[in-house]
Amino acid sequence: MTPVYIVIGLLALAALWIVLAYNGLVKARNKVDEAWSGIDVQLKRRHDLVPNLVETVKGYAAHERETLQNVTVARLAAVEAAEPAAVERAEARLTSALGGINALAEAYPELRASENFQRLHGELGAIEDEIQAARRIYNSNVQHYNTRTQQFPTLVIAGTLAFGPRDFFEVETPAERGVPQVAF
Amino acid sequence: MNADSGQGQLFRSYLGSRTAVYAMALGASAAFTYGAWKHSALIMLACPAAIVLGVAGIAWFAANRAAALRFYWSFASAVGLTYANRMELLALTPLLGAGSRRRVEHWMYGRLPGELSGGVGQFVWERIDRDSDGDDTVKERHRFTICTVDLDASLSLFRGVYLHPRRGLFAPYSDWLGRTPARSVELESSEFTTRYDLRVGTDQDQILLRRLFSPTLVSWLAHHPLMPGFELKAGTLCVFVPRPLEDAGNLTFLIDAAVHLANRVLAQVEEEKARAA
Repeated sequence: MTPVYIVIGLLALAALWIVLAYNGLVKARNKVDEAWSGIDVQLKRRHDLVPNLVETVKGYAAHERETLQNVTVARLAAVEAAEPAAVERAEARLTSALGGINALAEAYPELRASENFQRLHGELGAIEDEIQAARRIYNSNVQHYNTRTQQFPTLVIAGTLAFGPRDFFEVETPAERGVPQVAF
Repeated sequence: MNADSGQGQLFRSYLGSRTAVYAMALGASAAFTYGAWKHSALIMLACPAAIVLGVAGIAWFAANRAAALRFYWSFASAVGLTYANRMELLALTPLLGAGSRRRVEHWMYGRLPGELSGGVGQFVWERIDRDSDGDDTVKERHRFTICTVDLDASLSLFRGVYLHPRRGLFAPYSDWLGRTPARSVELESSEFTTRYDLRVGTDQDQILLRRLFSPTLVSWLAHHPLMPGFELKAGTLCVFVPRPLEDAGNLTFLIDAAVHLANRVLAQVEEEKARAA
């Protein structure tokens, strides 16, 4: 009878391990989703702020239609993007378009001095900091989750129960990614 | 510079002082004479040695205390705070009311950076058991370094936020939050959750809590080298690390962490006011 008990004991241990490994993977995956919704919240805050910023700029530089239209179009695309990859691209485009507004502020001292513009610009800066932090949290969660799904023996459970890898939320804008070029 | 700086020098000066030399000479002579009277070579040798060691021990203890006093006093002066050797704080947060007996040592209080009112120092809490004869026995004694900040503006919004570093299986101290009504909250960051155990009072607004723990704050806490915990209740922010920090660098780091957290809370309070208006 002893070998039977040993086999039963080993099977019970294996079952316990499967349950724990599965729950761990589910928890890690939920953390990734939760962190993504954290990014979403911050992005929505940015989308809500952009129309006010555009209206303020219009008051000082109404004829800079192209820049303002770029921002409006980029914002619309960002609002409509749903998939992480599409969100990445749309947000990068919006960030780039918002850079155009910064350039306008340099060209129009009255706009730069405007209290409303300064406040909105400050808010936008704070939101962008939050987006960066939310992205760090998301990427860290993705790394944690991907590592779990790729490590032995958890990868057996991950492979069997379709816990696929997740993509990182990458930096796409050349300004953020690029290293300053120094020419002599 | 730390609380042990200059201890060796003080020890040597105490040991070379007239009082110590007289105590050692007279004590050793008396012990030697007593041993001779008793015809005991053991007493003649061991007792004078014990007396010399005893005096050296007292000098070491006194030097240790004097060095700590000198360090904390000069640190307090350097950062514009007032020094008090020993005090008792009101039990406004669960940690400040932990155990059955508590005190703060080397308490430095006044204006912290950013015109915030508060203090920093070593917090000691003890759990004492009383037996049937009425005798007290200290079962646990723990030294934490704390920095408190008065945040009256947060009183109505934050009714109990307790962020504690995870204690692990073999934590040297018991959970002082035991009887405080609180529930666990898990935030989105895996790194943060690995480091911290976040609990909130049962009447704490959850949305407000999520707003307070913005991604920047979560990320900052998840990577802070000191891994500070904090409790926010009754208009008091108590930032702590569960070990004594006894050097100027780490004390300054803790004060900076407390000021950072206090400013984050105040910013959230302002944001809530603006939202309400």
